[in-house]
Amino acid sequence: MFFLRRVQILNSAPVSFLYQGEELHASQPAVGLYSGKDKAPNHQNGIMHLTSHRLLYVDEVDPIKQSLELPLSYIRETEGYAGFFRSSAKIILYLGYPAGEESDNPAEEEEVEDIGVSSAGWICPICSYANPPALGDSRPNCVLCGVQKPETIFTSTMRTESQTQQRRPQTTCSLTINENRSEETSDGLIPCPACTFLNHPYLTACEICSTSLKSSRPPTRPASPLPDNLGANMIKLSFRKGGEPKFYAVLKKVLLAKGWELPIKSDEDRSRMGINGLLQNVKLDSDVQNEDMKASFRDLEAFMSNAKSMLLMTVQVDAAEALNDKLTVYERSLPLGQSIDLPEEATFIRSSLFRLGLDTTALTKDMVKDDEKYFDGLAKELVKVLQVGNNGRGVMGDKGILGLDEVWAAWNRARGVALVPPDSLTAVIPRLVTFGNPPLTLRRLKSGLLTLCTPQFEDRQFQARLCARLNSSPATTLEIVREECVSMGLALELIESVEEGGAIVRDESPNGELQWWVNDFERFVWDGTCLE
Amino acid sequence: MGLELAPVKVQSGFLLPSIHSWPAFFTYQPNPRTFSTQREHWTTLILTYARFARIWELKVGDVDDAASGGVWGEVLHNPRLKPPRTIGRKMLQILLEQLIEEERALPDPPKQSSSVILCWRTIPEWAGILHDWAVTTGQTNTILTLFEISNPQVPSDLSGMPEPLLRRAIALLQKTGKAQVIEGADGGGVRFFP
Repeated sequence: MFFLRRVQILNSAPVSFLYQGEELHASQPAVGLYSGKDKAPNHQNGIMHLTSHRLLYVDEVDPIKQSLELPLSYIRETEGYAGFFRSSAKIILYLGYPAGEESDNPAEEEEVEDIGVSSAGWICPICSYANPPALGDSRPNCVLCGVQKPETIFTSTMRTESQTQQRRPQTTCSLTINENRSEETSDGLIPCPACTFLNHPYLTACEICSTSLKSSRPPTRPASPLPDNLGANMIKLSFRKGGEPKFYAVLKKVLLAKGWELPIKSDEDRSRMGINGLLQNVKLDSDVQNEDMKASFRDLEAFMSNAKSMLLMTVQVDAAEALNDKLTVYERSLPLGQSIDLPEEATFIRSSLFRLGLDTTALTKDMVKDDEKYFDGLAKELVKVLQVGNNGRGVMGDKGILGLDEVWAAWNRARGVALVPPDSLTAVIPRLVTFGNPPLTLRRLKSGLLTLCTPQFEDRQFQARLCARLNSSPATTLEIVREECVSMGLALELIESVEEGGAIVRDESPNGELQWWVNDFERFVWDGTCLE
Repeated sequence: MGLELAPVKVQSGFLLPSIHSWPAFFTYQPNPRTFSTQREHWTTLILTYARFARIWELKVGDVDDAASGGVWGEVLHNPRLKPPRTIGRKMLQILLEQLIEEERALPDPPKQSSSVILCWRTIPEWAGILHDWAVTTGQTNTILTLFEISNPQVPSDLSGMPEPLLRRAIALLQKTGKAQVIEGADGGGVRFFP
């Protein structure tokens, strides 16, 4: 049983008690320990963890004080025992010192302790990091802070007042358990075997019940037979809630793998931690960022160089158009009822043509040298979009007036590539008068809305038309909207601009409708009662 | 305009002008020029009707009972239109302000413009009428209370005149020396001189 070492498990998450390089292979709850043939008191209910380096028993009741670890190197042989009737399945482990660690005199505590300590994890005095057992190193470095393991650590930590503890160097990880002695608590008090009262270490008999206590001197190891006999150093793991076969299989695999013999990756890992690590991380991040930026700039340049070729590709739209025409002709020539199944490419060409909305390439600045000619070209293009377009009527369609935002949106949508900025639109608008058919002029409405309108919707023309209409009968706004085919807001603005001129007057009826009349106020003379 | 409008005689005998039958007349016109014409028509109508029906006061609240037979119902409301129109409160307020400005209305109570006394005769006219009445009824040089003037035994042009208007007319006469105000316990009196 003395192969097992006490270990403090403060946090049941495996991340907290695994060393670096140690891997968790299996965990099984509800496991009890047997030392030899007898149940180990205090270790009857816990979680058994199998890692690549050790077996770890985390007690359920008191994980801090009763958890144990067993380096896998101590396991000589294993045996499985399937449960029978009332006894649960067990794994029997025969323990022994691995080669090179055997000491001739196991009763020599110090030596054993020394060796035991040297293959146990140690706490760094500087940063308190729990380092894994140092294999092969006589003076290993702390993984976290890089400080060499000082020699005195063996003997200094956890020193208690009691002298009797002197010869028992302790780290928190290396307190051996000896079944045959009365156990000690960490501050040296001796529990009485009869009444369990904790007596002062110097006492020889229990204060309460006067049963004799074992020797107060540091318990030495009893002169048990040398651990050649496998039977003597045997522990059993009892799986109270099953899981034995699987655990056993994993255990055998892990023992075969002998993970504890591999050296820990030192340098790399060490440099990943600590201040060094932080600096490295920052450097790595900025490197990654730089790489990303470079890559995206490269992409952008590639795009720019390809823009020209993409534009050239649109020239092939002509070819596509020709194809489209041929297809249409062919389709029409088919007798009624039949239709051809266009191959995918043909439909794609057709849909792209439609989406483009243009049958020429979009005009860009580098295509035309002269500014004037450029704007003229743009104007022609815009006129086409607005008044010709795909359906012969263009975006303006039957409407004679269109808000400038709609104009711009429709134009850019038709262009697809090389979108035109708003100030180009502003520059192009004056030329629309010449190129448009009917000529388009800019008109600013009272609310500030800019519109393009045909002569029909020019100020005077609209007014004349409206007055003529109202002369026959007054009309509500809604009626005017319908007759002129403009939107409500736009109609209201137009009508109000006529009202500003004084040609029409409004009439609000109690039910909210707004009606418009020709302005006749001047016509009336007083023809009511005359008094004098 | 398609429909020809004609004056309408209402129940009280007043002849409403043809413009009163035009719906647009009842809507406030935002165009300033149009509105000035509209306002003129309205103020003339109001004053003429007040004189015809001898109504002394007008307030914005009269709009509310115009449809249901208030004193001003015939003018402020036109039930013959489809749907019937009533003048808006905002517009009436503006009209009253205009009347006050033209001195054809007195704010009553003072310092607001929602309720006025209409001067369907101007104050100088009233002063003249007042003095003439005093002379013709032989009541010069005697002290008359204001009540006596506005509620004479024989109905006169001054019957029912509200006090503020009367006072104004008297004040005007006082300036020309034709009347003298006598302070008294309740309201005081006035003495006219020939």
